[in-house]
This record gives sequence, C-alpha cells and structure tokens, in this order.
Amino acid sequence: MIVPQEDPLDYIDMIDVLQHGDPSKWTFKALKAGSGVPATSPTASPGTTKHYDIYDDEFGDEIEVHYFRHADGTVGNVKVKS
Amino acid sequence: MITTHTSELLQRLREGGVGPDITAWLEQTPADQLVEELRSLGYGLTFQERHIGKKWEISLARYLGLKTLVHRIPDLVVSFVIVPVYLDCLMLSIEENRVTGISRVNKLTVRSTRKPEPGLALKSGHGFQLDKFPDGWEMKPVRSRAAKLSRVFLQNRGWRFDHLQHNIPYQKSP
Repeated sequence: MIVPQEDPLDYIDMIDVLQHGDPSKWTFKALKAGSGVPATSPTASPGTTKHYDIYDDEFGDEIEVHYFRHADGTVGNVKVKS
Repeated sequence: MITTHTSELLQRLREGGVGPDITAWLEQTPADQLVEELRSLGYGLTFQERHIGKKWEISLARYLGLKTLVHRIPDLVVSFVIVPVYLDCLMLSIEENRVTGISRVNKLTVRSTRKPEPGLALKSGHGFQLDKFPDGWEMKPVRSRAAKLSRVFLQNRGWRFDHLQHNIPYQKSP
C-alpha cells in the first residue's frame, strides 16, 4: 500500500515565508548528505526519519528545509535553515 | 510563574540570545496558555492564524498603525502612500500544544500589489527568530525583507484581511 506523503513546504512557518517568499516558488536543488536517516530522539515514533532538503528560495538564496517524516507520511517540525 | 518567563522570553527575542533555560521552559509550557498570556500582555491583534495537520500557527501584534511611504522618481515627482503597519509582531508555530518556533519583529509593513497577481507585499522589520530544529533549538536574526504574496496564498495561510479592508479598499473580497 502506498502511503500518501505530505509536502513539507505546506508547513513552512509564516516568518520563513516573509524571509524567503512563497515556498511554491522555491527551487529544489538536492538532498543534503545524511538526509533520510532514522530519528534517534527518545520521543520519536518508530519509523520516523530526519530530512534535510536544499532549495533556492524565491530570492535566489540557498536554504535548507529540515523536518521529520513519520511512518504514516505526515511531517513535523518543518524548519528553514539559512 | 508563566508571566516572569514570558516577559524574559519577549525581552530576549528583542535583543537576541535566548538560552537553554528559556527553551527548556518553552518545551514544557502549554502553547495555548502562552498565547493567552501574550494576549494579556498586549498582543491583542491576530493577523494570521491557521491549523494544518497537528500544527497551529498564530501571528500576533500589539498595534496596527499607518505609515507614510515616499516614492521618488528621479527628476519627476514625489508621491506619498499611506500603508498599514503592524507593530511589535510575534509569530508562533505550535505542534501538539508546544511551541516549535517563535519570532519577534519590530514591524510588518503591508502594501497592496496588483502584479503579477493581486496580493500584498509584506515587509518585515528587524528582530529575532527562535526555532526548534530536529537537532535542537537555534536562534537567528530576522532580516528586513519584502515578500510579494498572492491573495490566494495568503488566504490559504490564514491571513486576516479584515484588519486591512479600510486601509486597502480594493483588497475587499468580491
């Protein structure tokens, strides 16, 4: 069975929208090395992975989107590192 | 006491330098209580709010005022435009009733735009942003920057246009 995957860009914080523009206008560049590894936090639910995606924002600046992806396809703690 | 910690949090968000004492307190404080506390401290205007999945975003301001922008075209004319400005703004991100991000900017200037599509140009002032990343808390400065965002995008993000309808008349819903 295919589990629907949430788009982390739907969860970008408002402050990061103000700083980096409309996420639908960001350009995906690559997965950062180490992206997709299992989350080791004691509070992480089984099957949760940590992700680091690299984008260019609407202004052309390179940013990283960090987030958890849970086993049910949902995402959490979506944050932008610049 | 939540009040003492909230005041300290606001002070440090103004100056930068939030330490582990404050982040540990944030991790244990119910976010709905914090939001109520902020409202009681004067952050009575909600200019953006949405729920998506387990996430709750809410953006608060102390005041909504007006500001005069000056447009100069060399050797031609000077025009003045009065625009709304939210003062002393807080933007919170919350998951499972715990804060995962809080930002404070001194102002947020709002200007209507028609191209490439109807919307708003939102120019943030200076401030600081505190976020809980998968690998821990980080603080960084907020840059003064203007983002042009379509009305449809802002509606989906829970932007509150009702505060602005008297200042930007043609932004009213049809």
